Amino acid sequence: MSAARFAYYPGCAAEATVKEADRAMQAIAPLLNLELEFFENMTCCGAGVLHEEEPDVSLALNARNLAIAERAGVDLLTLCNTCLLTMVKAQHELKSDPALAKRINESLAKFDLHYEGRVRVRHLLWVLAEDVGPEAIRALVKKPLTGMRIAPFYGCHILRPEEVLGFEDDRDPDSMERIIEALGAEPVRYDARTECCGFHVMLVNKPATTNMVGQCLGGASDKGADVMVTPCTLCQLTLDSYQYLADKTREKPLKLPVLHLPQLMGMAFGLDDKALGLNKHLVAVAP
Amino acid sequence: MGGAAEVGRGLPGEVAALPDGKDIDHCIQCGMCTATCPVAEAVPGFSPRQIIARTLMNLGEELLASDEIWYCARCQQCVATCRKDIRPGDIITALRIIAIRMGYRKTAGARHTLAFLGDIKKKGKLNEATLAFKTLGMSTITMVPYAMRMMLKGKIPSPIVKKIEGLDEVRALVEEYRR
Ligand code: SF4
Ligand code: SF4
Repeated sequence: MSAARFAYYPGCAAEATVKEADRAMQAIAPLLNLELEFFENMTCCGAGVLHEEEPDVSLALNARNLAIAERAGVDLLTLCNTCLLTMVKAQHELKSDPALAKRINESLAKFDLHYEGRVRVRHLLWVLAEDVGPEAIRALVKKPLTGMRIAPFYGCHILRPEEVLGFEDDRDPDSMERIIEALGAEPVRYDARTECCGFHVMLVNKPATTNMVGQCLGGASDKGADVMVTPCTLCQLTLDSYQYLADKTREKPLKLPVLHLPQLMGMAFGLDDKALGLNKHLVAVAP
Repeated sequence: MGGAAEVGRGLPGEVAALPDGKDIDHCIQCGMCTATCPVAEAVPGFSPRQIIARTLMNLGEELLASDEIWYCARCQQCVATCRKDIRPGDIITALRIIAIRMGYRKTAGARHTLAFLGDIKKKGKLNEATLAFKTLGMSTITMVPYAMRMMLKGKIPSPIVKKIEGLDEVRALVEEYRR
């Protein structure tokens, strides 16, 4: 079967602070028969933050990125929940404001670009759950993660608003659980799996983020999780790096390693720790 | 737009004029948004319901200059919960847009937002290495222990960001579409 091609859009975090997510993704992609194409001309999506200063600039830049993928005839694949929601929201806005979409297309035409709306914005989790599927994932497992109790942490911007994203039930998702099972491990059920990690206020409202990190990790830890896994680079960054702050509010430190989804896949596929960047975590991943 | 005389003038009208804020006047003040908000749970006093109430009462200055409107973590819980489809989180986004436009740019939250366009114009990408300083200014000092831990794992992003290709296209779009 020919490989599925994607415009690879790892997101700014995977390109700068949590590079191990990108490394792990590139390591597992060939095994999953995913061909990642790199587009050096795409911009930052603006993370919904640029929208707060210049909504139209944010929309025009996202339309440009989308049009670049469309011109190449590929869908976008990202590792970041916020990139996902920002780009999907941009698609909705372009659809709901045809006059603005037309104006943006006139501007894009100068660069030989046109946004039609054909391109699909996908997250790695969606591609794994929908295109690859748990059966094919199971077939690739070389080192089943038997006995591991894994807490899935979805992150907000892959679930909500459901009417915008529309992939799965935002109150009761199961794509992560199905993948964890396919890798031979046991998914841990806990309430905070669809809660917020607090990333977007980690600088502006440190106490809130610390509290949210503690709630999410504490919920998983109380249910006996050995490790947490998340599809979102921003959630991973927050839950790993703010864990020591959350620990200060608890009797016992959490010591809950937080993996990027492609790292967990790679572990089960038998890739070595270095290739997956498992040494890059603040909360050490036990061997 | 609702019939209230204030809508169309003052802050409520400005919020309602933005796509993010257009449904504000349907709010019934039920408080479900605040009940589901993780920031409200963590930070006493933060309440999306109250932010909406104060907006409708036209308490503009106070709200737009506040740190509070920058405390929302954009988690979308309130958006998923509100039965009246107000999208409370988006109302807060609308208030942020208005705050920036009206020159309320001194809060850490506003400075964080303003860092993005500058970075994108320079390189096409966000500069994660300088974001904390641009946001917190001198208070970045409070992040030093955090940064040390990140550094030990080689996780301090390089301040040198590679320019994207076609940056001139991006700059042209920025000039054309900025207000
Ligand atoms: S925004 Fe929605 S949930 Fe919040 S108080 Fe108003 S009607 Fe209730
Ligand atoms: S989006 Fe903001 S206001 Fe709404 S629940 Fe989340 S943090 Fe609270």
